[in-house]
Amino acid sequence: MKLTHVFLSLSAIWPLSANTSPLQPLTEAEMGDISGQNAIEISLTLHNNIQVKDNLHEGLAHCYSVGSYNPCRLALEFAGHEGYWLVMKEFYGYLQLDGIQLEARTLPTANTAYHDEDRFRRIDGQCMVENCDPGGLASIEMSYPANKGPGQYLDMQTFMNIGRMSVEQDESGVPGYLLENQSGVANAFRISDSSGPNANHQVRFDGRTLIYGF
Amino acid sequence: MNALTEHTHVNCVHIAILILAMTYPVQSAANALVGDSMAARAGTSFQQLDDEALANISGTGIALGFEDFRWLTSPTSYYEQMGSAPVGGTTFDRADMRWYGLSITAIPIGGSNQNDDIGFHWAGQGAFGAPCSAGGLACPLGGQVSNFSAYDNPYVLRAWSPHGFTYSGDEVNADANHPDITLYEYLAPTHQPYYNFAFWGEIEAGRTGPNEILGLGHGAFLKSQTLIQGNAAGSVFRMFQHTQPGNETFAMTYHSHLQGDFRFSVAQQGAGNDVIGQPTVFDEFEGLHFKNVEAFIPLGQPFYQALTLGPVPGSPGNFILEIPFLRDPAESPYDALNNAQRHFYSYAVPENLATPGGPAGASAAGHISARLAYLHNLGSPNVGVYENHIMNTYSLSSLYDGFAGADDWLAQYNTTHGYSRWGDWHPCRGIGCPNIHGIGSNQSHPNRNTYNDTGSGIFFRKCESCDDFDAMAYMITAVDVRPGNSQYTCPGGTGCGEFTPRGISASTRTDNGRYYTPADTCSATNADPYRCGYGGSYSIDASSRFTHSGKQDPSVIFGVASRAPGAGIPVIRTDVVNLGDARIEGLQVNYMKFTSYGAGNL
Repeated sequence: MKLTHVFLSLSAIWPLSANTSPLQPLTEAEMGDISGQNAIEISLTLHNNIQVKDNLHEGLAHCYSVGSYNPCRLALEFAGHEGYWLVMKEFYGYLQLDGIQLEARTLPTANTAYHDEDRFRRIDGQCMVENCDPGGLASIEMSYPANKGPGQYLDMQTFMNIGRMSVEQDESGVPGYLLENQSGVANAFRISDSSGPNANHQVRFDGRTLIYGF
Repeated sequence: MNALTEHTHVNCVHIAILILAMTYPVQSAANALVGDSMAARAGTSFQQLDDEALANISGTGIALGFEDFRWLTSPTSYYEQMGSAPVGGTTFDRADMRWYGLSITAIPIGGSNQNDDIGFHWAGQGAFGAPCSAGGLACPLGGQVSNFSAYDNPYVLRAWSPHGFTYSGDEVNADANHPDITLYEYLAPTHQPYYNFAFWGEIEAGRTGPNEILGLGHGAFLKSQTLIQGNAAGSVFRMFQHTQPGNETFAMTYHSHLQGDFRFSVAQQGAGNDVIGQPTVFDEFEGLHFKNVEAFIPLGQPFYQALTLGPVPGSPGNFILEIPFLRDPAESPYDALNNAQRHFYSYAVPENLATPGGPAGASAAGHISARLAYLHNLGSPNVGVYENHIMNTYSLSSLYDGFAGADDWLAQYNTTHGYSRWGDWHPCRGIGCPNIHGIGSNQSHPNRNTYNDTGSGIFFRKCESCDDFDAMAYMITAVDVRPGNSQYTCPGGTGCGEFTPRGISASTRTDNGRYYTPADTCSATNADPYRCGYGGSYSIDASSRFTHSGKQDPSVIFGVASRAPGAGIPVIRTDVVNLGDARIEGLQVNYMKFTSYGAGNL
C-alpha cells in the first residue's frame, strides 16, 4: 500500500497577529479572550494514484495497463459471498476541500414551520432530547467561506476514475483482488469536468450545516 | 463487509468515517466537543460537561440541519457512466451517459435582474448563467433554500435495534436492553420545503475516443435537462446484515418518498452551442411534465427483505443487485404465512380468503386490503360501508385481526405498500367512496384535466418559439386510405360492415359503439358494485350522440375551435396536450433484480 500524496492543513481562523515581540506565555484571562477557541478552518487535499498537473490529473503510469493486472484498485468482499470480490480497477482520483469552517453554536429556541417533535421520539414514545425539543442545544456549525464571487465553484474539487468494475473470484489460494481473470467491464464510472482531460469536478456550497447529537 | 485497498486512501477515509458514525462513543465525543466550545464562546475557560449534561446525550444519533443551503455544481462538471464495447453478439452501439451540473437550489421565481432568486440557466451572460425570464419548472438553477432541513426537523444518522422479524419469521430485538441485531439508518426530514433539483445530461451513442477527452472520437449525442421541484421528505435508507438463510450478506433498504413536479426537456434555445461537454440554454417551457407527483416506493423492510449484492452464477465477472423473494411464488396462497410474511403482506382479512365463485386458488385478500387502505387513506367517511360489505360477503366477524384496530393495521400496511400518483386526481368509485363518488350518483364522474391543462397530471408542451402542434386524434377504428380522403367515413351506415367500431353501447354495454358515444352513464348498485368497471358509477356528459355514418371532429368534445373544415383533419391544434393523471395504489415490491452483463461471456 503506497500513499503518494496527502496534504492536510489545519488552522484557526483568527490566530494570526501583527505583534513582532518575542513569544510570551498567555495568562488564563488572555486565553479566554482568544476567539479562535471556538472556530477552526480546515482545508484538505487527498491524492489517490495520480499526479496533479495544473488540475488536469494523470493517473500513475502503472494504472494504465488496461486489460492486464495493475495495482490501482479498490475491492469489496461482502459477508455471505466470501471469495467473490467486487473489484474497481484503474481506480484513481483526487479530493480537495477548501476552507471548511467549524465553530460552536447554540441551536435556536423558536420553532420553525417544519418543527416535528416526533422526530426526537423513540419508538416507545420517550423523548431522546428533553421535551423532544432540540432548541438551545449546543451544536457544531459547519460552513464555507461566504465571500465567494458569483460563478465560483471551488469549495469541493474532485476527480475520480473507475476504469472497469467486475467480480474476481479467489483462485488457488490467491485472493480475487490480486487477479485479472475478468477483463470485461460490468460498470465504469468517472467524476470529472469537460474543461480538460481529467479536470476537477467543481462544487460550490452555500449556507450552513448544523451538526448535533442526541 | 471487508474492504481492501491498494494505493488507495481516499476510500479508506470514507469507510472509516462511515464506521465511526455508527458507533456511540464518537457521537458522544462530538457533543462533548461542542460543550467545550460553547464554554469558550461565552468567554469563560474550558469546562467539562457535568453528569446532567452527559445524561442528555444518549448516543442515539447525529442530526444535520441545513440553513440557507445551496449545492451548485459547475455546469461543466459531470458524473459519467462509461460505456464499453457491446458483448454477446449484439448489434448495439456503445453508450455513454453524463450528468452535468447536479445542483440543489431554491425554486427560482424568474425575472430580469441578476438576483440569485430570479434563477439562471446553465450558460449565457449573467452572474452564473443567463437569468430566467420565468420561474418554477421553467428555470434550472436558483438561490439558497432557507430551511432546507430545519434544526428541529433535521436529517438524522443513527444506529439502533428496532423490534422486527427475520426472513424466517423469528422475532428479533424483543428485549431492547439485549438487542439481537442492529441497523444503521439515514432519515430525511419529515417536513421540508420544496426545493429545486436539477441537472443537464448527455447520452452518447458510438463513442470511439478516450473518455478523458470528450471531443475526441465522440459519437452522436443528445442533450437533455431534468428538473425536479419538490422534496424527498420521509425517505429512509437503511443498512444491516440480511437474515435470509444462506444469504446473510450486506443488506440495504430504501423507502423513497418523492413529491413535487418534474420536467424533462431537450429543446435548446439557439443553435451553435450544441458541442459535446458544453452547457447550453434550454427552452423554458418545452418538454414532458409531471405535475403533482407523489410516490412512495418501499424497497426492502428491516430485517426480512433487502437489496443485496452477489455474483452472477454462470457469468463470471458480473454482479447482481436484487431483492430476493420473501416467499416462493410457486407456494400456494393457502400455506400459512410466517410472521415476516404477515408483516409484509399486511392483510386486513385472512390471507386465504377466496372470492365466492372466483377462480380456484385465487385469493381476494390482497385486493380487499388494498381497497380498504385506499379508502382509509382517502379519509372516506363511508369506509364502514365497504367494511360491512366485506364482512357480509365473506362471512367474517371482524377485520384487522391481530391489530389493535384499523389505524394500527393501516400504519403497517402503509410501511410495506407504496403508491405512485402522477397528478392529484382521486377516482374513487364504488362502495365506501366519499359521497360525491357514491353509488347511484351521477356526480361520481371526477373533474378530469382539460386537454391543455398545465396545472396537474402528465402533459407535453411545445417550445416557446415553436408552432402549435396537432394532437388529440379521435379514436380511429378504420381509415379510408383512398387518394383524396383524409377522414373516416363509415361505408355501411350504422352497421359499418367489417369496420364495426369497437367498444360498448351506452344502453346495453354489450355491443359496439363506445368510441362513437359522447354521453354515457353507469350506476353501480349494492348487488352489482363492479358493473361499471372498478366498482363504481360514472357519467360522461357531452353533446348530441355521434353517428356511425357521419364524420366527427373531436374538437366538439373538448370545446375548442375545429380545424377540420380547413384542413380536413379531425384534430386539435394546441401548444399543450395533457394526457391526464395516473395512479398506482397498493404497490408492493415482491422481487427485483438488476444483472450486469458487460464483464463476461454470456
